[in-house]
Amino acid sequence: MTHAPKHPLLRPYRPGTDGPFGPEQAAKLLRRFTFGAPPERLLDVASQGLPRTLGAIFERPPAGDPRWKAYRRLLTHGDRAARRGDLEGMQSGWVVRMMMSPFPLAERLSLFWHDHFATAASKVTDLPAMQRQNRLFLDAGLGKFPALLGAVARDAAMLIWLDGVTSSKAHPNENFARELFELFSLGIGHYTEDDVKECARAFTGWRLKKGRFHFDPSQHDDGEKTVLGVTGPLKGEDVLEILARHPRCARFIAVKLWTAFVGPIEDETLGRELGRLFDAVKRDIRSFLRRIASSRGFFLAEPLVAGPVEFAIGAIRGLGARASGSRVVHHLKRMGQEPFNPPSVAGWPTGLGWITSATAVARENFAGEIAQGTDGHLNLRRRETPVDLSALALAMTGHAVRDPARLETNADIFRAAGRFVGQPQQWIL
Amino acid sequence: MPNSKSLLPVALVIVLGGSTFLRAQDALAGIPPDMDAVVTWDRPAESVGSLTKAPWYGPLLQLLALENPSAPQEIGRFLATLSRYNSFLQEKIVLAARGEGNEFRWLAIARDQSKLGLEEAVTRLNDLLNLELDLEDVAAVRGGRVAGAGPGVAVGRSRSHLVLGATKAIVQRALRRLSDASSTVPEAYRRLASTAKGIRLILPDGLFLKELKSNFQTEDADEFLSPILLGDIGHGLAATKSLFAGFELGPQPSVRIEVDRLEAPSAPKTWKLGFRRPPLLDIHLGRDLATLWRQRDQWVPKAAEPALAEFSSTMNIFLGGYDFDDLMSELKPGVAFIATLPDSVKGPERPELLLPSFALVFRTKFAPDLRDRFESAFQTFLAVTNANSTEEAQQPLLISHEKTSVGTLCIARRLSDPVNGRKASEYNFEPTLLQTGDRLIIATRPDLAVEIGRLAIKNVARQDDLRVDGAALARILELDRERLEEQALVERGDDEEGARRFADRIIALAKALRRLRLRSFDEGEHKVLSLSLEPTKP
Repeated sequence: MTHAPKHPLLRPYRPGTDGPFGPEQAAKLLRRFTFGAPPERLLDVASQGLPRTLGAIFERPPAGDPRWKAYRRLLTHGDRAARRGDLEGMQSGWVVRMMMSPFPLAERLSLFWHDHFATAASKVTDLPAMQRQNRLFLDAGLGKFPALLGAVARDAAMLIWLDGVTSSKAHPNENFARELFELFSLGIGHYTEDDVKECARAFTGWRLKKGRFHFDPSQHDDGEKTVLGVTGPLKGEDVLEILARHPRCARFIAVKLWTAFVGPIEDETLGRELGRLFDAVKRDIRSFLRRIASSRGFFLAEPLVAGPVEFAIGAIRGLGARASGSRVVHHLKRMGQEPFNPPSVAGWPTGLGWITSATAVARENFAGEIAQGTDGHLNLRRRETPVDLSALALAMTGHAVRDPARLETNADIFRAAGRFVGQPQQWIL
Repeated sequence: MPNSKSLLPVALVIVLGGSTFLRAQDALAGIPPDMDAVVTWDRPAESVGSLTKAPWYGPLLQLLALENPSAPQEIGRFLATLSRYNSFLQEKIVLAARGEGNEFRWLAIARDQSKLGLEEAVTRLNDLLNLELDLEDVAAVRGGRVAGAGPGVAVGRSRSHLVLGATKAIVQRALRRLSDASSTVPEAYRRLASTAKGIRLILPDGLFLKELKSNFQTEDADEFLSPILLGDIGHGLAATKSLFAGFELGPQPSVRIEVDRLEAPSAPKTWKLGFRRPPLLDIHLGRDLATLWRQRDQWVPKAAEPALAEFSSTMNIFLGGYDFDDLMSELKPGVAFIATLPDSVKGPERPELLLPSFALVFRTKFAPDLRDRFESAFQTFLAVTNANSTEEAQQPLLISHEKTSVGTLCIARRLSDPVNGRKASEYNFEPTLLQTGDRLIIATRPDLAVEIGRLAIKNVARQDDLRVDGAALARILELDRERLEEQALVERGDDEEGARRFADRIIALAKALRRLRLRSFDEGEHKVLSLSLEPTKP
């Protein structure tokens, strides 16, 4: 049975009654969930109405779609780069995947989970493990949250990152247990220090063998423990099961998703309702996102500051162009978001935290290179198709401008795009 | 010079092109002997047409088009412009420059048989080259007439020559020299006068050569190789009194650089291997490594000394307590680097990137424990390789010995792992050490070590020689085509079609090249560096 949310912001958006659904609304959906789309696709999608726009965003193109072939090669490229210890190759490969994915929602979610379960190559150093974690977010990032959490707990990069591999029966390491509660599932104030200590005991014996997850019974503490009110000879799986049923977990994740894709929450009731909605869709991430994408709250929400990846990939996708992956990574580092290397276990900044004097200059520099087009280091390429300035503005900024000018050549289009991207008031989604 | 052809930078064409420039062979006599750089350019009459017919021209144009789609049109326009002036340019023209403090003086001279007066000659020059030279203060001077022609330009006319220069004074000086029967071509420029066609440059010991020398005296010690490579060149250049360079861009493009005899710390005889079929890469350096190492403080820039000391102490660790300095002193002159196509490209674990097989060959002084020292370093190398291996499925490299007709091979192999059901990898990497005669061979494959061990060594005149075989290069690019395309997808941001085109063009370019050869040798009083490209016959 479909859950009918009581909160007015969670009710489905009815075009015509609640507001319009036109290019600006379609642009907002595409920019927040898929890094954006080129002008012609944006106008095409908008003309088909809200349900079809949602379908274009949330439904995976069929396996026979020819675009998957090149995409799969990029995945292989990342795997190979990881095996030869080439972090920059992995970063470039991922960035190009985001630029050209036939199903960008999955890539957008892999970025979201990379921030949520922030793991950095600078400590992990095992690059194949980092790459496998990236593939995990890609494959399971739109599935059921409990399954994703379970897979992350067994993930080699995570076990290294939060010292699970050194946790033993005699000396349980609490790092993973603490972050599991604080950052990954419940949030501060919903667990006790004893929960952390007992949880750490439950995860003892979760080790790696030849780079893969391995349960070592000799290092597991099989004594009785009490975690979040449940007592027994708990194992790591049991703790994950407790979290999978915990109402606070549903609310914590639902609020985090809403904050990332819609906007900040100041209303306690809305947070509670979101948790119920997440439970109602059986903690299925894709279903939940689809519900919030079609809610009144989404279309009424205030603008969000775009993170560097959203900003840079959004600009390139909005142009309908392709660019040098390594050069985009170069800019992302200067804007403060280096893929595979979040600054801490808490992930990257949010909102205005992204904008400092240094990162603002970096965004300006990126805009400058967009304007240089083919001649710049970004090596921008697009099919030479003329574009209306108003349509380009909509794709790049999300807002319509009333200027019927037609841009005939790619050079003119790149120059106009650089101008749009370089304006700080446009660094929002 | 066989069939020399040349192509001139546009600027030079614009400054000097025109029907008035005929037979300028003697123009060198007008160049004052104190100029810092002199360039001669011979008429490119046939070269424009023949360039477009060169086998490398098409693939190169396509490759440039990948970066800039309008490149072929731009190059086409440039060649058309060049052709337009072709018919007027029939002999050598000369450009010279001198730096004086922050000032820069330049001079261009060409023989002009048109018999036109100064005013008419300039009018014609303006028409031909779309210039706006406007004569002011025309004055009669010894040897002809001279006039200002706009900011920073003066024009002079003798009965036989047209002269352009930065100032009236320098033009006047050139006219005087041209009219002076006793004026001769300075010794430094004599070689320019004696060679035919192409673009030729000579840098006497002046501002430009000093600038060039200082650029080679790198202070950047970040890259370990730069002090060794550039430091050595810088050291060589420091003793240079003049530098001569020749460029030809015909169907067989080549570059030749000559400097006066270098006082390099090496004067060895070198040796050569005789491969029956050409390897992918064949480099022979006639360097005396032992002397170079001993005298390193003379040629390594100061800033790079710590990096070299660190390298030396790291090598001591690798050698398991043996002294790296002692080891270097036991090397005879000459070192070779050989690369061939991969021997093994099949098997259950075909490598992702098909690297060529490599071998490094030294000559040694038969020190009795030399082999032990190298084996010790080899063991350390394997331990580091095993520790850094990110390949989970791979077994560690272990040393084994194998007797062959050329000596005992010391081979590092991955062994099979029957417990976990893994077979030994068929991998193009089985590091091998072989000492045979006075040669010490370090190869990435045992069969390559044996092949080199069997080859006869011939002593040859001292020279450095680098050869690249185009067909072998194309073959390895073909084998790694998939990787090449992936690289284009990611690094260039190409789509699949674009990536395929990129790989096609890179491979076509390699196929168009039969051989690239870079040599360094002594010729009379000069040290010569020669680069030649030999395209495949169409």
